[in-house]
Amino acid sequence: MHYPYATPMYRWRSLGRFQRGLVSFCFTLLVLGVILMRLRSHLGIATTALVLVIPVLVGVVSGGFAIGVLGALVGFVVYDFFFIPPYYTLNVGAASNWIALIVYGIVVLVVARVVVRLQAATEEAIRQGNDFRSLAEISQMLIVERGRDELLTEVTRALVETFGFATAAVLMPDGEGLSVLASAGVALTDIEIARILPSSGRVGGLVIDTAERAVPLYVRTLLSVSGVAGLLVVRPGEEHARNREVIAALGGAIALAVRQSELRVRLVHSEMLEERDRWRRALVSSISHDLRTPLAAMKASISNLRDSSLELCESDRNELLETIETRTDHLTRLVTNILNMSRIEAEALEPHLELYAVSDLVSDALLSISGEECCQRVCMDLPIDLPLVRVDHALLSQALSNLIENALRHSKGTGQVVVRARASESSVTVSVRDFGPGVPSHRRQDIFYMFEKDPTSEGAGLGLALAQSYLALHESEIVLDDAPGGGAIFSFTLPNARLLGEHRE
Amino acid sequence: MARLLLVDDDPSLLRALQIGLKARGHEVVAVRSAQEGIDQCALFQPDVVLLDLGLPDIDGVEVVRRVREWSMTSILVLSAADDDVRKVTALDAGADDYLTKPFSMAELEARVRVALRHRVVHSVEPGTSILELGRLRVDLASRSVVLDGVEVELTAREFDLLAYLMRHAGKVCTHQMILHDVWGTGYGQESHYLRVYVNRLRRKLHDDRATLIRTSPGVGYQYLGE
Repeated sequence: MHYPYATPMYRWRSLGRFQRGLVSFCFTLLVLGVILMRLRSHLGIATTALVLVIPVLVGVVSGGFAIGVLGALVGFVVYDFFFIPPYYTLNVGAASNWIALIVYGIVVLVVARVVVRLQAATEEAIRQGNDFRSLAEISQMLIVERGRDELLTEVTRALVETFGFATAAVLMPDGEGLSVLASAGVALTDIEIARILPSSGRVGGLVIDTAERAVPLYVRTLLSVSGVAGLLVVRPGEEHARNREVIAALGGAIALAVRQSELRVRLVHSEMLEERDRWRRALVSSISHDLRTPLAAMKASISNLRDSSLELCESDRNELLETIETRTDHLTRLVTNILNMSRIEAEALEPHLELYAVSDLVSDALLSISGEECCQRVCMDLPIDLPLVRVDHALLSQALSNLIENALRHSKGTGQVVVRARASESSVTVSVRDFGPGVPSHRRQDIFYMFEKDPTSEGAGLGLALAQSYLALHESEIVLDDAPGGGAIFSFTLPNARLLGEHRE
Repeated sequence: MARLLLVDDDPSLLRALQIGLKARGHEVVAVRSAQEGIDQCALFQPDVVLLDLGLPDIDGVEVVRRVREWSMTSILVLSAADDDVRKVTALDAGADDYLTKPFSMAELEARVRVALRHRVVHSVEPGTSILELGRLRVDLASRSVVLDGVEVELTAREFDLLAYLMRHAGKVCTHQMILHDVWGTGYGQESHYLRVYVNRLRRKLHDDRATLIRTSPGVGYQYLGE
């Protein structure tokens, strides 16, 4: 175990400055005195006086000018008592001895004074160097791009840690008044904050004395281009009653940084608006394309059927009518999807959960995909004993029909689509498999985004995104896997409703 | 009546157009991709190509450009997005006319008729200086214009504009094309010049209902000659 306060070093540091000076003075005087006593008969009194300056200097260096004065007195007495004949009396004897004694006293005092000044100057230089470094560090901190609040928190912390302020806080306008946005060290009391706030008609001063603590608070206005950005409030630490310049210098830098981060926020905001604008334009153009495509086929078919001068055979007539029907269904689904999309965006879509059989959901999903050809391509693999699921009928059958439609589109030509459901103990998993080319790994995430579509397919890029949103409303999600032997499998899992019921009871 | 090539990726539209156009007596080939379309332009030698701009494999505008490199067949562009920029690009690339989806069969038939009628103009021998289209007869050498047998006085610029539109009869000429070719290379954005000059031409040619020169709003002008 290691107790720091048991070490001599710790004890030495725990002494006050005066005490440290006194100890070092006494120790040096003792050592030199003993040596000088031995050599007294060989040395002249002037040499002795010069040597006796050393303990005072040592004392002054560690203890300050007070030790110098004390040392001068003690040294004076020791010099007289031990080294000026007659020894061991305070009598001085010869006049030349008087001169030596007085000169000793003056030299010691002057030297002490000079040393103290020099020391103070050195300390000041070191302190200023440190301040400068700290300022540079904080300024560096202000340049780094980050959010305003984070920046201010770090700056106030740095002010307390590096400059030894008791408190550093930044106050910013907040609605009606000012509120503390970031603070480090001793928190400002409500009374202090109330005092800092300049009441109307009164100019806020630089120094506000708080009577309770009798420690002044320095308040510096943070000015930015757009006016007063806020206030920097600093409570000086006990040791440092200085650093007003530091506050002044930092005030400007902080104000600039705040302004900068606000501008950055605005920039990001306007970039976001721009992005949203671009997205909206893409959306409108995409929707317009997807609505017009089925409309074009319908209009062409109808105008053919209405033209009485045309002689259409029965099969052509039927084909045109079928086109109108399938395109109408397609358009209906598209419009439903678009409406639901805006509801999801507005968070206005509430699922109405009720008990349904998976097979019913699948057949309803197929109903909305008309066209005999399409329905013939869908194979169903649904066990008879599937448990019920608790879902929103409209949303889930829409999700299924979006998945099936997507699969039909990607199973080229007359390729099959398999809709399959399997129950485990607690859940039912429904999957839709196609025999298309599969989804390349770099697009696995993207295909669930709105308007992300394969450029070679005719889909609107809505189906998968919406199906995913519908499942999210059921606290489930669509998982995409590679099918063995090519193609993609989209599947989702819903809890077994029976278990949900038991759980509730 | 005519050989028509349909290029569109929506099979149901393709089928409806095919049925309608066949019943109107046209010979129709329908394909679903741009590459097949370009191939069929060479194999089938259609009189008019109906080309969708939003094809999956090659951009429609690029198809126009490629076909125009070696074929003068009329290209009628079908665009789903009614955005003028794409239409104008296609016309500049060499398409003759455009239709915005959805359209009726009657509209389509009318455009096909215009394209077929003016296909003849393109085959006028290079040596002749006389253009005779509908009620108008223009002598490019003596710079004279005769409407229903009556001489019409035109300024030099009016004559150049009319001659240009007639040389490209049936084609929708974009503002930029006309300004560039009639006014000079430095022009292209001054579509208000065109409004003024086309108005004067229509007044002098008694074309009150704009059946001689048709306006494609925001796009350009087309000489119909009816």
